[in-house]
Amino acid sequence: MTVLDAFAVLTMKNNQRGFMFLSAIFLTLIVSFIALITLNAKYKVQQRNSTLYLTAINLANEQFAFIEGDAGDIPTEDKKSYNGMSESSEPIEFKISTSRNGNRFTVKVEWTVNGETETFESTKTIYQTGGQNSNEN
Amino acid sequence: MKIKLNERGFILAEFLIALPLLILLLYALVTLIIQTSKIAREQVADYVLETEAQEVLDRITADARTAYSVKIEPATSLIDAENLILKCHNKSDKSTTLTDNLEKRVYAVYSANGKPFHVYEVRQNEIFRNPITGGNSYGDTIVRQLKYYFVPEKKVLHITLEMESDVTKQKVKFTTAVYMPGYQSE
Repeated sequence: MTVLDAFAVLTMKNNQRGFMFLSAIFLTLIVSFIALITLNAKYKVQQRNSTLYLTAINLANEQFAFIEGDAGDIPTEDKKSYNGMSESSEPIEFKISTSRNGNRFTVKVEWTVNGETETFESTKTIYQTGGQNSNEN
Repeated sequence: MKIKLNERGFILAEFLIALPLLILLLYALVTLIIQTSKIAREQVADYVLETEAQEVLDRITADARTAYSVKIEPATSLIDAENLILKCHNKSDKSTTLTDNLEKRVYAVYSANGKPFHVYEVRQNEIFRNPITGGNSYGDTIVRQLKYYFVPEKKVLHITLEMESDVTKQKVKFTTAVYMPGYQSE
């Protein structure tokens, strides 16, 4: 449309004057809106919450394995992650807490990124002494 | 085209104002399209990276659950990686297929034909080598670290995996562990 406008100048009638200028203004608005939406999306994409969520899932599974094996608490260095950021910045620390209701174990993983606290919770049935293990996530 | 006397030059003036504006806008539009494509490509490449890393961990933990024997060997001197050899023959655990019960599974890290390091699953007879990572046309990945630590008395296999996207150079590092209920000390 806009490219055609340039050629339309040559065949422009009196009552069409200013049309090209108007379309340029509209195009400016449209491009501005697209840029606004895309640039907003860029920051959300770069936050990479999915990687941190995956990290939390794996940490919860690690905690379940340690509970099943009665191996104590998972190492502190495992609870720190540089996923989604450069190694020069401070690592994200994951807090892991476990609660128990009979043989039902619930592991809660919490982490804070950009001032917002995210949580992942997983529950599993573990028979620590029976020798046979069943699970339900 | 009929133009009144007092309106002469209006079209030329409008043209001179609007044309640079249009060129500027077209430049902005093209830049926007290029940026959006770049973001989309990076996004897909990072998604591939996460998916492949999780696939490796899922497969290893699923096999380790049914394994009665575990052996860890150095994979290569070039990167910090180890090979994992599992023997799965555990009647007390609920395996889904016959092959799950009988096969030896090897998770090997190596570089084939000068390509980046990938994780391969080597089956019983060591002829079939199934690549688990790499080769994705949306973005190749490189294995930077794959380490295991097994505590026999607790039957807990500790796994650390670090991978990098060849497109975005983004790194992800996951640690997890799996309890091996059928493990028998040799």
